[in-house]
Amino acid sequence: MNSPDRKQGPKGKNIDTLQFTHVEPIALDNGVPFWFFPATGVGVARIYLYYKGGIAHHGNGLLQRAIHQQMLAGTASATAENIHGALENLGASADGSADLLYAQHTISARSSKLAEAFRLFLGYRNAAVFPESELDVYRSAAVSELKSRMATPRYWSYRRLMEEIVGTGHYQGQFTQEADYAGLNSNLLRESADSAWNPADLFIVVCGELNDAQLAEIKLVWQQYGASFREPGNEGKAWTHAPFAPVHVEHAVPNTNQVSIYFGKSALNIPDAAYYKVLVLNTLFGGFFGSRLMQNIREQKGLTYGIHSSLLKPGKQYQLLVSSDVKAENKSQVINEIKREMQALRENPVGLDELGKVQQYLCGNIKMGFDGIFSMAARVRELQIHGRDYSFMDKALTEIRAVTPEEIQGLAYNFLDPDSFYISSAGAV
Amino acid sequence: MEFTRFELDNGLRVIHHQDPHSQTVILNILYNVGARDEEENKTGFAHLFEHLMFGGSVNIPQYDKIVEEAGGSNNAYTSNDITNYHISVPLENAETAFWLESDRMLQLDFSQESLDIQRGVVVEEFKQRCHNAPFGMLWHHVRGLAYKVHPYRWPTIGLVTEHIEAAKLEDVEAFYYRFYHPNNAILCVTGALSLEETRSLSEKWFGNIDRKGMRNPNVYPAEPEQEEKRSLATTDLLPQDAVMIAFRTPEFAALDWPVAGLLADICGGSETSPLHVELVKERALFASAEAFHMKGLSEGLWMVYGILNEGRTHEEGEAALREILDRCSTDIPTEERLLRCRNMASTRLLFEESTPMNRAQKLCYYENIGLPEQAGNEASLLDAVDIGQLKSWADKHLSQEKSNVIYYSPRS
Repeated sequence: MNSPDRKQGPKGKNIDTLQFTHVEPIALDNGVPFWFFPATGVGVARIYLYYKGGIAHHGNGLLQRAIHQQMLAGTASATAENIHGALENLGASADGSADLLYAQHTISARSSKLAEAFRLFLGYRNAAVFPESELDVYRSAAVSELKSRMATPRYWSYRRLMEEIVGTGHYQGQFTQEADYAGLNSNLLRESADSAWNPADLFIVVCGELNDAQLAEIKLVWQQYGASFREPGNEGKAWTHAPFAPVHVEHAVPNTNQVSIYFGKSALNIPDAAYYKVLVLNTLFGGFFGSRLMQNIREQKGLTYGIHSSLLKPGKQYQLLVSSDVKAENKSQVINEIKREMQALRENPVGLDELGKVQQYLCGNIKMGFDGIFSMAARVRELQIHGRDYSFMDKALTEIRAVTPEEIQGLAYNFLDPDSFYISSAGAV
Repeated sequence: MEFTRFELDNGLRVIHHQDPHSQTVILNILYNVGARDEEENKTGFAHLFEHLMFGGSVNIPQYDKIVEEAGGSNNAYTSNDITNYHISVPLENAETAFWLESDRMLQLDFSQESLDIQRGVVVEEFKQRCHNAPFGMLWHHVRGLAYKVHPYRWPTIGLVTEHIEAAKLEDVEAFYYRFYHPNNAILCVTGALSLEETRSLSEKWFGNIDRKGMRNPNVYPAEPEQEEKRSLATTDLLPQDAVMIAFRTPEFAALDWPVAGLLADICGGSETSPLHVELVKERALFASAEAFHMKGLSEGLWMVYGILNEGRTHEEGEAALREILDRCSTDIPTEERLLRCRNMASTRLLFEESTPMNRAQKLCYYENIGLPEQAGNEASLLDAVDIGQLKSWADKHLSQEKSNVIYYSPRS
């Protein structure tokens, strides 16, 4: 066989098409939207129950998390061991969590056992009494975990940043203290569970291998248990956002030998029409291995193991965060380099080669993100909680390809002014 | 799990497994070298070398740039046993992945500059993972206590940062020529690519790389049988006292890991386990307690730990954990618990195998120990475990004299 041309390599192709099926939801008899994404040959399936709203809607993140994590801790007639034992007998598992914009329950099992596991799960969850004895165990483990997190520079740099950029009156700026756990009790959890599980906020996504009979049984299980609906309509809790006043805060963490740095800014208004353009800017700046920040600060100077920028949407507006853990004596140098990279993007248009690389990287990774039998659950969730439809994903590659160097420079001018960022550093400061 | 395997003339073993759901192609390459192949005064080298593999090859100066231009992503990890690289690309650019991986197998481009930079990066990784994270020094302590002879006595990240800082370019070159060649590697291609294309692209890009060297014989100093309990009291970045007990277990190829894993699940794998019910809930001794088994090619480690509640002592904690362990060879494993844990483990296995990446890594792992057919046979191994095996395994491996006990206290 002739040797291949190793200098040139194969000619790469542009990634220009996304392939995924636009599955539309079925409205169950009780009106809950229900998506099913089938797979074959895997032998398992998972049900995702998503409740829109989350901590941003209800407030009190500690309480919301406790409700969802303790949902299977006991009923009037079944202990936690009974409940978990019944699920384990089926080889099934169920989890619950509360996030900023949604809460979720997942039930995972072999295809043949999923309907039965779902029936058990709903029965126990709907009758949850949150026993005090289980809450004691929960408190003890949660406090231990909190203390572990509080021993790290990363926890404090993020916390101090959030307390500054959104303020302690905002759900993202409210951090649980050890003493807060004492305020959790069975009555409070029982009273709050109803609103946290309001089926009017719910949508269901099922992914995996299920035959028609198994799928029909799952729908039936839900309809038997989910008929008691309340009307949605309240806008949720109102929040105050800290005024803009960039500062650099420092926080010493004992027994550490690195400094964790966060840059951040909040309350960014980015309409959906501009989202993919800003995504390209963020990716170019610090969103992947080939980004300006990673190449300069890790690959050329060896100052950190990792540095990343993230474009997040924890509510109606966006946040831009940059984070890195560095040697204490390199803190100022890294902060200056981050600012210098921001300024460079504002002052000079990006070259077409570099922009093309970022566009191709994003297009390929968005396309690959649709792989996997459970990937569509998170996609549907993101569309639903942000009030979007499939067209938002359909246009992703086209919009990413259409971004120009001038647009990137203009966006950098607006979003990457180094003086507009809050900076937090914690650890061996 | 259906797969096809073949071997190129240069010794490269190739495995193919197609996934009908995928639009992606994954190339996973396992090199049969890990931290157990390091010298005791040059620990952390296999992992440092993994970083240098991204520094460019003779024909491709910038590895990551080409991956990104193909719309792909990549990563790697090093363990005590192996070094594993994986690259995912959209089907359209599958051939680019073959080009990239074959070129760095053909000839890596060594440079002092790349070494200097990556030493700095890895030292910061060491500090981030080991000095500034809770239980960051765990593997230093556990391995140092459980092993006295075998190179498992140091963790993948290295014993100390000084070893990483002292790495020299000649060490890098020698390591590459010894371990990074087709005859010491396994390529697994999963995802959307057909078998015919996999054969053709493997031959085209990897087929004309010289065999270069021998397969790693994987011969290591044998760790003597442990005959008495070992103890260590130490500190780490953690908020509460904790107790950990580790036991050495047989090599992976002995295929008794289902017994070890199920026993860990039975003792402490869920909210119905005795560790949780008796020690966390009923006696409020620990804030949390768990058991798990970590597989290894030379040996595994079976571990149990608990984070103590305030006012509880290490001695109380150890005694309680010991009490549970002693009952493992008598009354804890029951038919009901075995059935339950087996159901859980086999469901977990199916979920793990639902991704092409996990399948690729599993296929490479089994091929590396010469048992490729076992990759699809794990559920049968789980099904074959009975109560008698669990009890006798616990009796043999979890006894007091084989225990390595660590008392952790917060670093002050």
